[in-house]
Amino acid sequence: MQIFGHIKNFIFFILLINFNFVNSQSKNIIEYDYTFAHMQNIKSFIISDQTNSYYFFASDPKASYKTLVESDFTSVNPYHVYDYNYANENIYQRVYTVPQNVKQPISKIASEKLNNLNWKITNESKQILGYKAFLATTNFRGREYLVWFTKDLNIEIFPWKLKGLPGVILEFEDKDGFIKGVAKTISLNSNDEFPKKVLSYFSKNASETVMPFKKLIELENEVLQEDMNKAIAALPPGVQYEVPNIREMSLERSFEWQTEPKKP
Amino acid sequence: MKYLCLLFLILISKISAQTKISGIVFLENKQPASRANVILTDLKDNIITFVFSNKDGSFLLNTSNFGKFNLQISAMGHMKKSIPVSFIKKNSVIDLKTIELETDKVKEIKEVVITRTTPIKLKKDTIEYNAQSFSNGTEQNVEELLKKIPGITIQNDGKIKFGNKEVERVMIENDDLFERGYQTLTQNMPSKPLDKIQILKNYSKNKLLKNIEDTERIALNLTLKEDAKGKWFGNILLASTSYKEDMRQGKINVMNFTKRQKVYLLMNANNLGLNEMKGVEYLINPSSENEVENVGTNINTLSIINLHQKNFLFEDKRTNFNNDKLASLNYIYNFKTDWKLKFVTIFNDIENRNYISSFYKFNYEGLNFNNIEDKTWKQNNRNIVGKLELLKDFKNDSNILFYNKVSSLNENNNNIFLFNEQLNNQTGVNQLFTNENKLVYTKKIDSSKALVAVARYIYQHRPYNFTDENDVFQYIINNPNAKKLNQVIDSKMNFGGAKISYLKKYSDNRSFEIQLGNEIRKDQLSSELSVFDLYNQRINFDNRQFINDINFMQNNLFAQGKYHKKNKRWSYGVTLLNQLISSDLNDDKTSGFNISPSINVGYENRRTGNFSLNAGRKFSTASINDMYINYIYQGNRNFKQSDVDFSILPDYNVGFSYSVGELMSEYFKFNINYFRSEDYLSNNMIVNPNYTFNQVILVKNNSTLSSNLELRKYIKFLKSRISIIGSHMLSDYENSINNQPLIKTEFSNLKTGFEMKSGFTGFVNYELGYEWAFNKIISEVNSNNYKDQKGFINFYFSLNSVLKIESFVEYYKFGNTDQKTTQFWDVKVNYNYKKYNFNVYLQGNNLLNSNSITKYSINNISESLYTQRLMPLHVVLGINKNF
Repeated sequence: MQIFGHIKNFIFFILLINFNFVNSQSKNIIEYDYTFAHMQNIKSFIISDQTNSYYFFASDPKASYKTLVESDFTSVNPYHVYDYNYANENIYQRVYTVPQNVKQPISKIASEKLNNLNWKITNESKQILGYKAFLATTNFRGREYLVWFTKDLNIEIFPWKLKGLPGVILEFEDKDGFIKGVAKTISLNSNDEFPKKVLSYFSKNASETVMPFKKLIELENEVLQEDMNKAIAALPPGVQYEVPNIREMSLERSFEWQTEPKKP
Repeated sequence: MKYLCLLFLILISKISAQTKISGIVFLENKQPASRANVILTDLKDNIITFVFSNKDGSFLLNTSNFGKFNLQISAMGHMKKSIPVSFIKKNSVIDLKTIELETDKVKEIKEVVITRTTPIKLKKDTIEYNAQSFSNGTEQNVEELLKKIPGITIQNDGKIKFGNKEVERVMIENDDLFERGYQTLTQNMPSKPLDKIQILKNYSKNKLLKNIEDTERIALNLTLKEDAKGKWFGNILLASTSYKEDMRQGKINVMNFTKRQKVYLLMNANNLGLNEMKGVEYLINPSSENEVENVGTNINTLSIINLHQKNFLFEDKRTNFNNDKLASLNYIYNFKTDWKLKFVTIFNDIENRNYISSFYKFNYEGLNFNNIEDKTWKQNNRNIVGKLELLKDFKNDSNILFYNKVSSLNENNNNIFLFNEQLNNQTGVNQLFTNENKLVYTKKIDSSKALVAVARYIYQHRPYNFTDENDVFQYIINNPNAKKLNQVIDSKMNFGGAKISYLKKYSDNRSFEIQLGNEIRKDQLSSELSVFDLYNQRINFDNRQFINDINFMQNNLFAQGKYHKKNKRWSYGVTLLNQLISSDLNDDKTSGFNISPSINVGYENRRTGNFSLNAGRKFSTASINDMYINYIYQGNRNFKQSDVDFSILPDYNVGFSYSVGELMSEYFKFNINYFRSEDYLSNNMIVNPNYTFNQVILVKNNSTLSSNLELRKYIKFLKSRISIIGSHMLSDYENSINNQPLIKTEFSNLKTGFEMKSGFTGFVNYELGYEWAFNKIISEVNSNNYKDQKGFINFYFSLNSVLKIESFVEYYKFGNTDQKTTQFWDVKVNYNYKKYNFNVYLQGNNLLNSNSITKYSINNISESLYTQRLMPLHVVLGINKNF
């Protein structure tokens, strides 16, 4: 036990070194104006140093990365935070939608390996923030995405899970107009550190046990299913509700491991 | 031969076309560059293909293209390297071996920030959905598609709700064809042409008032697919019972929309008991909305007497013996010069028959009698309405709107009454002609201020002429020859009003509005009654008591201020209305000044609950119908006359409501209202077994206290919601019988019940409920109580995406009647032929064939039993096809 503890400490130590090393690298920050379904006036942010890339949201429409730093990242949405690790190609995300009957404690982090999406790059291009950006499209988890990316920044940065393009995504939206992000500011070689608040979500304590992504979806679906039942039951008599896919309002509408993606 | 070879070579390479480029990328520090971007571009910098380098820096890139290219290799913090490559041979392999990337010394140290200065416009008050992503092709109309949009629910009457708020307008390509009658559009337009569904929050009808007006209105805007624009589409519905019942329905909707022009044509005919007028009623009645763009908030359609009685106790489909025809045309044209023209016209011809038998028992101060009546009400109603509207937008943030509305109504009544087995026919006609003009000018001063001026003129003329065959005047004038009476009424109303309003929005949470205006209304009413014998010879008698000639004028000069403030939890609203009301009733002049304040305070907190408190005082005025000095025969053996002059009737009200919890999980709501009139209009009934004289009298102090309660909870293991509902109403009033002192009466009604609804996502859902109503009346002369009960259980089966079965069962048990219970059972089966764009339905109504229903009611001097005839069992087969 003692030895095991030592090993653990040792690993932690190495991690720490690695951490410092990572921290010392300069960062690239992209700020997007973001909308998702009913929710507007959201900002989303990526801070990346090519070892890790953190993607998170702030619900303050006036927020910029600078004001977030000044306000100690208080307006960051604590539930939708993503950490992509360039080395192992895993993305880590927070677990928060959990059915009431699930026994605690439960892992706070889920992860999955991100494959490159199957992008179609077109010759269509436009200038975004002074960079030539190409239009690329892909289908991912029940939504068709259209993104504009530039290869001229010599780095690979993508929001959320839109991985696999040789460059930086400056605009992204889904064809249904459900999700839309437009880069507002790009900061290259910034001396800002990874925000402590965001790092804390993926701290050693939180990441001790990592939930497989499929399990996360299982739990989420259970909650969404119950919400759907509640919503139908809440209607007045005589009023019927067509039952859509329970994940209709989710970012990820269907999954590659499901045989048949549910359409309403 | 040489060229041929080359051609052959090219051909082959085009077919089996793979060329490979490989290499290993290193950084300046000799470390392999993993995940470096390796991009193959053409000479115009278009991307042909790309790969990422592996962990050891190696990469392998495949392409089927030929020609000259650039290979761009980049990694973070390093200079991009561009290597020209060209392939002309098939299966050629280019090995670039080692590629070293230099460190970008400039970029490494220098922080660069690139920002957009122009704000990005992300729509704030609009939620947009792609119609296609919610459609599975089985939707017959827009309504069925809207049902699938998150947050949208469709009410039984076709009204749409988004969240808890009712949608006010549904527009097509930003044009409002139907105003409040939008269900015509949503229930009939095929959903296929739709491109996007936009939900507009904080909607203002007048776009200049957007974000200035304090509004929480919701509207929908439907946009069309490009290829649907300018195309004619619509639907046709045909339904029929067997020849025995001889009931049918036919409906056709045709529409064509472009950005510039919109046309909607509707024709509808049925004798199935369906009321298809709901979608056009908004156009027939004058609007009385209290908003800056309207003046004249208490204008109704002029009506002196009512010669028809429609049933309102039960649904139309049970009691509406009808034969209706309706046609309407809606048209909008947008001129290039910022003019908009809108034209709406309706024609309808409606027949309603209502069959009632009743038993009336009078008992007061030694006067006892029973009347048994059997009544067949039949009304034929022909209506033509036309409205022309013009809107012009000016460049300087102002607009002007004008409309003219003309309508003509012709009503024919042919009623057959049996009064204690004596045949009494009532026939009569009345017409209504109205003309309404409105002009609105809006000027947006800046982003937070606006000025609105409105002027409105309304003219209404309604003459009546009807004949009643009965023996009433044998008793009144003591002449046994009096067999018939005829009454001629002429009523006219002229209204003119003008108002100017100033709106100011200080911030999102604070707004102010002031209105100044004047309204003038003139009423003329004349009536004359004649009595005839069996041979239509006029019988002379002193009819002075039955002649009216009244001129009434009322002027209302007013100023109103409104202030609204909101912060995170609290909201406050104050309204102050000052009115100078002057009147002239047949040269009897009065004048008075009134102040009507009202306030409301609200508090929102998810944890402790939300409450709101409101209180107000207001003044209403007696109308022409309350002021005629001599008797006007109302039909139905009733006469009415008034003893009051022009009066102002003050009242006040206080209300409180509280709610806590979440509607979907656990929720509690309670509200209580108290209303008190200091002066109100009551009546003195002079009762006779054969007729009644009603006199309007002014009485002091009546009050009503009402409260409602709802408790709901989602039960997880049943996957169902259960609600407990209660309401209570207590009112007291005073009236007089036969000139005796006032009788005070207290009436109370207590309702309690429950409701359950399932939330299954499978093939079946149910809903059920039961309600008990306890009625009690206490007066100095009479006390009584009775209990009514009703229940329902409905099932919805969705066997697959094309076959649906619905079953509805209703149960009624009315107290104090001989009839024990009444049950209804209706079933509807709907099958959708997705491929051919139509659906077929089979509908069985009143399958248990309940033919009548009896209800009991009481007041302080009498008891009555009403028996209502019901539409008998009938089965309808229908088909609905979209085109």
